Amino acid sequence: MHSNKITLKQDLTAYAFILPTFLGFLLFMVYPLFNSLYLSFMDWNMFLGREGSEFVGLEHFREAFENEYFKAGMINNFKLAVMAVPLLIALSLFLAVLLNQDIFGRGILRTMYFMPYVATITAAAVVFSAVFHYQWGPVNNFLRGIGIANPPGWTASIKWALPTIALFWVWKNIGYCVVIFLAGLQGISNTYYEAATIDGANKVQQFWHITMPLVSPTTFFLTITNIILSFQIFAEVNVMTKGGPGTATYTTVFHIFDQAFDKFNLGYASAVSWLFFLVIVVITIIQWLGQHKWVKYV
Amino acid sequence: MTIKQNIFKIILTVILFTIGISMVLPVLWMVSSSLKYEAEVFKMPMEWIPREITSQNYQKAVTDFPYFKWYGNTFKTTFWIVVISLIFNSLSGYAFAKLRFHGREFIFALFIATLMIPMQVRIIPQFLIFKAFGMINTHYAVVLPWIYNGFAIFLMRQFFMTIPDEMIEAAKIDGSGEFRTFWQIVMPLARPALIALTILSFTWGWNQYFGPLIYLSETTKQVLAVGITNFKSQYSSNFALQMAGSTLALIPILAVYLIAQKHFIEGIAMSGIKG
Repeated sequence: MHSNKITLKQDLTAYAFILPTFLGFLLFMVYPLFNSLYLSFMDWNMFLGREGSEFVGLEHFREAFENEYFKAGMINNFKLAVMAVPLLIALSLFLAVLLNQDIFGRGILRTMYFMPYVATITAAAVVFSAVFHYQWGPVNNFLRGIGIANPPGWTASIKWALPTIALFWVWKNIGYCVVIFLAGLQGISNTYYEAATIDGANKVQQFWHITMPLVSPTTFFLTITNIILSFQIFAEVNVMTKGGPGTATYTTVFHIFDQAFDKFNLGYASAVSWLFFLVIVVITIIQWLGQHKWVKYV
Repeated sequence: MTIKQNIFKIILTVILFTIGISMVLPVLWMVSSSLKYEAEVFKMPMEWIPREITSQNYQKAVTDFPYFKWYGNTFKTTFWIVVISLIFNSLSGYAFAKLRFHGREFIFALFIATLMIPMQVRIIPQFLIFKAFGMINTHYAVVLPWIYNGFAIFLMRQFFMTIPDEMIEAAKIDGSGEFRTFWQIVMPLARPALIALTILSFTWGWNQYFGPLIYLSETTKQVLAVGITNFKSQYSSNFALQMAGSTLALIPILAVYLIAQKHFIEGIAMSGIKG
């Protein structure tokens, strides 16, 4: 039996438990978040610190909106999200639904799908670059072999570079989504399907009228998190294309990285990182507001 | 009816295996190419098992690059990231799940709210913090940010919630304090979650790229995830060598995955919603 009043001793003990993470939270989350907002109003001199730095107000934000690379990066981020996320969600739901049927070798299949997710992204990107090499890569060799005279130029072509990055990203992340969808599907009670079968509904009808609505909270969760993640694409670009050809695969994070750690424009890069953050927040809020239209919580 | 069902089952299995094999094909191609002479890598028709196997790419990879240093650095930083994750996230997750204190819901909500904050907004101030403490180009900069990991805290909390209160109460009646209860009663019960967290944090540590890229400038201090990209920039047309380097970087993580994949996938599934 314990009383409802929390004692001082209980407070002290509990705070001792969370102390290390709380300090980490202050030092690596709260402080950096606000410090970067502060930096965004400053022309920050990395070597001289506060002494050599100047307050410039909203100047960096204005600069960003006039910067061609920033604009190209943002546009590419939206293109990537539109190309990659629906494909990722649709494909992984499709695979999860099939894996959830009565099939042979479910374990080994799951292992195969999930493997790219654990692979080191840079090593995987090096391999992908070779496999999709426009001239010698086995993919184009294969395509030529089956009679396609002019296969896509993949990362070497302005038209195909961004879709190639999207394809790589989908390949890398599909296993994660399949696992989460499978967990969601296994939470759907069998009685729904039994009742539908008695009513004469076929598998396709069952998918649209039972599976889709009941798994929609998972779909929503994966859509939100993956849009955020797709905006953060960086390693793929840095290893495979360096933002090129031209600005075909230039992303906002690549712009932040380039400005901050190559050109040492820390103030400007901080301003861009906050704009980037705000875009993500706005997109996420819009999705939250829109969810009642299609997400069913039971 | 059963025949129809069996045919359906076989067709499904074939479809799923076709897609599954195409998922792992790049990795198989990598291993195969790493064992070939450069001139053989792109030769058609492709030989999945090279007629002539060579180890020269591996020899070149470990002599032209400080590969063993990178291995050592990656193991070292990954080890500390795992240790930090296990201790701090268990303590914190347990407090949010089972201890009563003022501000519990509020602090937990704050932690959850930070899950969607991209690390790119924090990376510049973090860089300046490490610079101020003289930790640039040291492994502290790569390991210390892992002290706070909202996702892992959430994961551990979710697990500790499933431990019945009665078990903890019983330990307290026996006169054991909160820390002893946690250490002697709760932690042994949390073994599955701890295994999952070990494997997840091993992957995070092994694969982290952005932090080391920014904080470490000396080649001999570098970790594999960054080091491996030197192959592509320095030997951009030696694909056999690039594949040998990639294979070396992927072996440990894929080995851990294949051995512990059950815990891996359970850990990931555990992270999916329901809060």
